[in-house]
Amino acid sequence: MDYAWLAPVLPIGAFALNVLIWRQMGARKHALSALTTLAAIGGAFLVFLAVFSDASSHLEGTATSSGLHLIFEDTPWFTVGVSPHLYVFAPTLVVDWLSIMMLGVVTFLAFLIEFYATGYMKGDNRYWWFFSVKALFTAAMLGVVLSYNFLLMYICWELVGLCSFLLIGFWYSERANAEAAKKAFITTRVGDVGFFIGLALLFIKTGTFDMKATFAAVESGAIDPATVTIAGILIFLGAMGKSGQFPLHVWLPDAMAGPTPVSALVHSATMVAAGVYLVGRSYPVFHASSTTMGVITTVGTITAIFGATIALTQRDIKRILAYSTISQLGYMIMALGVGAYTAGLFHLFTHAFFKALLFLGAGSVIHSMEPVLSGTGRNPNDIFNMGGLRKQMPVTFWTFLLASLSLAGIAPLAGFWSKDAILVGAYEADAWLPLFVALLTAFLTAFYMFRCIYLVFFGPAKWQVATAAGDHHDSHSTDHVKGRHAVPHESPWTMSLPLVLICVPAIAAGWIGIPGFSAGFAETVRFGPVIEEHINLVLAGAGTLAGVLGIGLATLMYLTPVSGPRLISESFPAAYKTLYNKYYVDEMYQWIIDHVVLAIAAMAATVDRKILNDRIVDWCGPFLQGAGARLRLTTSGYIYHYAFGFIIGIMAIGVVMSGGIPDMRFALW
Amino acid sequence: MELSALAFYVVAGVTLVAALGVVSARSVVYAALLLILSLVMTGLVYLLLLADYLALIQILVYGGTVSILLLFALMLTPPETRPELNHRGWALGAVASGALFVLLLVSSLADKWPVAGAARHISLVDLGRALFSTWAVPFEVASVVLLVALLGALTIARSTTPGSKIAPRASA
Amino acid sequence: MVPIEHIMVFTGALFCIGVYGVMARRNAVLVLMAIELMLNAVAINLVAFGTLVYPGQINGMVFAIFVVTIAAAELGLGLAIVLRVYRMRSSINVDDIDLMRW
Repeated sequence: MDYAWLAPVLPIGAFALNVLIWRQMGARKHALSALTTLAAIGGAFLVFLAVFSDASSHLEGTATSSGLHLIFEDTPWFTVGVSPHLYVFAPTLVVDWLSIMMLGVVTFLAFLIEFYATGYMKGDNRYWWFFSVKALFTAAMLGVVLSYNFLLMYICWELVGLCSFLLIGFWYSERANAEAAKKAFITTRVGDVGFFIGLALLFIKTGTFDMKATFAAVESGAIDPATVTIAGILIFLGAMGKSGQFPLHVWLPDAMAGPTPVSALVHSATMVAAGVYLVGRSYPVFHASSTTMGVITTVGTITAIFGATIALTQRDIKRILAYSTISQLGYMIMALGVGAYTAGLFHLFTHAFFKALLFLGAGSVIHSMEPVLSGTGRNPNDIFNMGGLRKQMPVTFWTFLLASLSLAGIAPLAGFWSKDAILVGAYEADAWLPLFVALLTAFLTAFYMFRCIYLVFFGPAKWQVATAAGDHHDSHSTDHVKGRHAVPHESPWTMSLPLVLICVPAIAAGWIGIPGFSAGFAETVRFGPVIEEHINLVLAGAGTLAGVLGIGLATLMYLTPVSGPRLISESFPAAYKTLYNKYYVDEMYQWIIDHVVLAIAAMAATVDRKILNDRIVDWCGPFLQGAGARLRLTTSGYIYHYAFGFIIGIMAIGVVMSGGIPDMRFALW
Repeated sequence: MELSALAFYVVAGVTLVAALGVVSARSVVYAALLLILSLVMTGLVYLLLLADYLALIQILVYGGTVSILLLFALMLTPPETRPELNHRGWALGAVASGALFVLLLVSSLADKWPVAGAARHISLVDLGRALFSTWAVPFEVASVVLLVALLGALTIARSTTPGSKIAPRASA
Repeated sequence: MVPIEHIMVFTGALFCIGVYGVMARRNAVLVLMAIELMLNAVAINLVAFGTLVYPGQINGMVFAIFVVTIAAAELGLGLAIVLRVYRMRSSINVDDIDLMRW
């Protein structure tokens, strides 16, 4: 398993090759970089397979210290300070079942999504740069997954953030995209500062960034509990920023400005899961303090219901999925908070597949809507501009439906098993409020997903009306508008093949965790002893019922021609507006920035201008000029003046070297 | 008081008086002659310190060559009509040298220096051996220094230097 | 022979007289003469220490020989410069040579 380091190194090599060599290749650089990236990520996937088969026979499953395989544990990376304050850092990598799971998810999805992107991004004039950044992203993400040293992890963590910034702002010529990229970067930075301070606190107490030593110190009680709590909450801040937890979630919906493959890989399946992974990886720190666990549970619970309710009213298909992601991440965090370690990470595992599938499906829809709606000024992402697409796009429809069912938690799809595990976990922890919220969220999730499906794939083809209204008043001539192919069509095979392939884990990924049938997940990715899991039929039934109810309500409201939605939104205008405007969180931040941050900035600017600049900086120049004008007079040009200074200086040196007047022994003798 | 000590005090006194004359004489020629006296007296000090070869060199080099050189220089640079040999800053020099003398005095007398055994005469043979074995490299370097000084003096003092900015006659 | 301290006082006085000469004299040739006094003071000190404090050791004398050598070279160059300056400015007063002034 020692070769696991190859997994991040291959993509970073691809990145280097792309930006250093292929870049010079003119038009060929696009194909070359796409191929290199695909090959490298495919190689990383092979590394995963090899590690997986090795680990199956060698590794005990546990997330604590005994079931780990560490690489480069004794390799010096760099040292700081001198003995006795000498700190040696090692770039330790870890192979345990948690990192193997993430390795598999990241490499598998990255490969398929890269493949999908070869079709989706076709014709973009920065095609090669897209793949280069994706390669860098994959490398950094694998670095986060494998590192067992907080410092190394933090570096990769920031690299991931950088790639996210570059990819969200990939089409930066549109101002909104550039703004979204900036927002994502700055918002996650808020969390990352907390993360960094938390790491610094732990470093002060333990003198190391090595996770093994840190966890040992925490578990042995070598660090006082208050520090553990504070450090845990600060580190959790980083996870909150990355995983879009309330109130640092605001960047994630805006991040959908990036190309859809980016949304699928970075902002739903892998990078945003890094926060959950961080919580899973650093669980000993959190677990040691019930306060931290309470904070985690609270944040996760609020986020779960918060994201789900906002998703009810959104019109942009990718934003619906984004809020769904926020809600599901809240779900995982909540599970981790109540102590259902396996369940939370299991949900991370299954969610990655079906959410990536949903995003790829959405991308496929948008890809085909764009040419239809171009020129009409209507948003191709708006689900109210779609409709009836199941005939035009059968593959997309069926895969999207399947992923939605999985997300809604319908047995026997992947989502059912992980959602059920979380419900059981919350029940066994006697966390009644999270359990209730989880059920409610499951209901809402099913509802908004099927609202989306009905509006996109069923009902009247609103895009037809749109094109007709936009160009002619004759609906029969729409096929020939400006000679363009104005009917949505199924996407090319490069895009639909990954859809079909990801279906497999979206259906089956949950089966490895079925209690009593194949409890591989529960035995391997765990914290502490193996817990014998069993199906709680009441909870399973309740979860499924919530999903079915949600689907049924959506069917009633959106499939049948009842004017249900309008009725509701008009009867509760305040609630509707609050949800549609996402609880006004963005507005609140804007207000804070306008009235608090800018006020402080104005004060700082005044201090800078009036005191630092006018008083101190402006005073420096004249002072030096004046001093120079006076000091100039000492260079008289007379030798005896210089000689006088010389002799006085020599005498001073003599006195100093002799160690003072009384004993004139010269020190050098 | 033994004879050599008495001789030393006499010679040292003469040297100091002559040196004072050098720095205070009203005429450059007197100053030069007093300098010659002072240098020859220094040679006698060497003799009293059992360094007879050095005394020889001192009298030859300083008493002969250096004094002739100085006198030539004085001859080639005729003083102004009313020579004022000290300038306005002489008080500054007096203060500095006085302070330095106090410092040297204190530091010389503050501590007892070890005097190990009787002074021994060093033969010319030993000196030559040392110069050409232990000190061979510095000796050669010193010869190079002399050569460079010779060439430098020639270059600087040559009457006209074509193309040189500091040669008034060349530019005139 | 006399105690080493007496020789040190003597050479110190000689050196300080030289310093005074360097700083007080106007005539460049007199300045050079004062420098010779200083060099001689140092050379005497070296020989005295060699003979009285470390009898049998030859280094003091060797140093003195080098001092004499360097002094000769220095004097030759110094006088050449004096001649040059005299030819340029028709004066060898050091307070006329103030090219390095502000």
